[in-house]
Amino acid sequence: MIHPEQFATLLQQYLNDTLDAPGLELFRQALQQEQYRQLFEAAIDQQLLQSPPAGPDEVKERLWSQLRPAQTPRAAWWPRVAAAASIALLLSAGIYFWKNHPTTPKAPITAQKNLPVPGSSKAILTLADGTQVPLDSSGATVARQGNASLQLSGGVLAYNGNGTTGPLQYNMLQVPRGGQFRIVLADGSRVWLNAASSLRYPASFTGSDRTVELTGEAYFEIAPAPNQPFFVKVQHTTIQVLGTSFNVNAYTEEPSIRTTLVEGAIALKTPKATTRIQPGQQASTTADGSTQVMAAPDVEEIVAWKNGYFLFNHEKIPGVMRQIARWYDVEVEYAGKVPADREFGGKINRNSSIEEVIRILELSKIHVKLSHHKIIVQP
Amino acid sequence: MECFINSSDQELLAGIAAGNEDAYRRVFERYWERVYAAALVLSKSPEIAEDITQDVFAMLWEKRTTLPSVTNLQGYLFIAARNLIFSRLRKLHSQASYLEYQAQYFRESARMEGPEEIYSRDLLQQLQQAILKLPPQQQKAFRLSRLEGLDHAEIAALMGISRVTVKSYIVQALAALRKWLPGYLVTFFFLVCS
Repeated sequence: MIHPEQFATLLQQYLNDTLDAPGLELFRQALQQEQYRQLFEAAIDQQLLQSPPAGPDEVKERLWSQLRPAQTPRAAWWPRVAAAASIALLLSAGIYFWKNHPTTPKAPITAQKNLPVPGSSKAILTLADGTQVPLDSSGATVARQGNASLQLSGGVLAYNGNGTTGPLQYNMLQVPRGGQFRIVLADGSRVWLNAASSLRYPASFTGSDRTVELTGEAYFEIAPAPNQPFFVKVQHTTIQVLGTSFNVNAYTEEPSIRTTLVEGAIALKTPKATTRIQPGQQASTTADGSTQVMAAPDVEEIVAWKNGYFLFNHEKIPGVMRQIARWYDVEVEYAGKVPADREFGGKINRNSSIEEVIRILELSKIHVKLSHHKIIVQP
Repeated sequence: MECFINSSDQELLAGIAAGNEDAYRRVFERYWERVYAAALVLSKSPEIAEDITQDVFAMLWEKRTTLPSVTNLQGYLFIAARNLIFSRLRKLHSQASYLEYQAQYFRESARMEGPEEIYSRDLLQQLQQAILKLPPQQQKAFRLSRLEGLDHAEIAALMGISRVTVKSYIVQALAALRKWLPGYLVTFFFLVCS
């Protein structure tokens, strides 16, 4: 926590471009706190009232060409209605609008609007009573579910307060294509949910065990609790967790459920068999319930998504394209034969614009065409 | 064609409310620079500033039927702009890519001015070629800064843009060069294809 005078100094340095790295960090934290909002808003007002330097004509022309009423079918506007139970979204006295496509700061300006954009923090939370709440990276709120209070900040949903009594109240977090989200469960376990994934879990773990259900992909860091084993149910498989970090990739379009253990110990139970795996091992479970354990897969590659990257190491092109499709919410089509034998290696930042991704693919001689929300892989 | 050049804000409000495009254009001309300049100083990014400015004025047209109840056009616009800048910034400050951009931006701001010393002729050649691939404005800002050693204010004056924009161009140019020149500066990502 910083003093208001200190915030005023940081704010002045922010406006003058003279903040250093620690100052920037402090300023960011303060920005999320309601008490500095007035000061910050006053600084914005002051900037608006100053006579500005002349803006470049090209910017003016570009802006006007987008705004001209005659040529702008800008239908993407609607006033946001504040639903009573919804996550409080920075509503000010005025009117607040939002666009349905998020802007990415790194994306270059292109004449074309509506390019597929990289994913961002978004999800839909379904509470025990069926109420659905859209979540994104802004806002901070609070709702209660039984013993637990829910807090949202910076793309992380956290449950605080794990009661020991009362009925289990299940919540569900659904992440759409082009989204990701983090959640801290009531027992302190942390889960990173990838695009097109969902997690169903009790708001507080009042039962004798801790059981959650997963679809899609997630990375788990489970808080140890010896008397309350943790289970992840995935399709026909149950993963028993003994205090640990691991990644589960259970997208139905992938050939098998791949569970990779980073540290600790887990056991996979299918109707056929129970298999224990060691850190650094990966288990592939197929629909018939058989499990194969592979030694030393590239763990860094498997958890790269959680760290903000796509990392491919000898990945076949369809596998690469499936990941891109889920994150940029695009469809993938093959104009010719699916190139089954070629492999791709590389690291791509998940914040990259779709154009950058295409450029990287091109550099690797994977030729693709973007047509609306479809990527067509050329033979 | 109606001419609104000398019209008061009140007349312009009435004009927009009636769906008059000339009145709208006049309001845009009168106020866009203030909104853009404020958004630029606060976001440190010309792209985001442009986006915010566009949103503020698009809102004005979208909401034109409610304008008759507005008495102070400047106040109305500035409150809308302030709210939009505030909420957008708060949101941006939780996005990793933006935080990275800002960290680079402030690093660039604190940089001691002067040309970079490049010892290897081969590297310089590679760099020159890569620079040619940059968009013209980024290219110019980068050359003036790193090869000719001008400071941000000098480049801003020379190019007729703000210092924020100069720094933003340089940060974006550096990011692109890091990608194109593996091994130089920092290896940002690598590519191998079998």
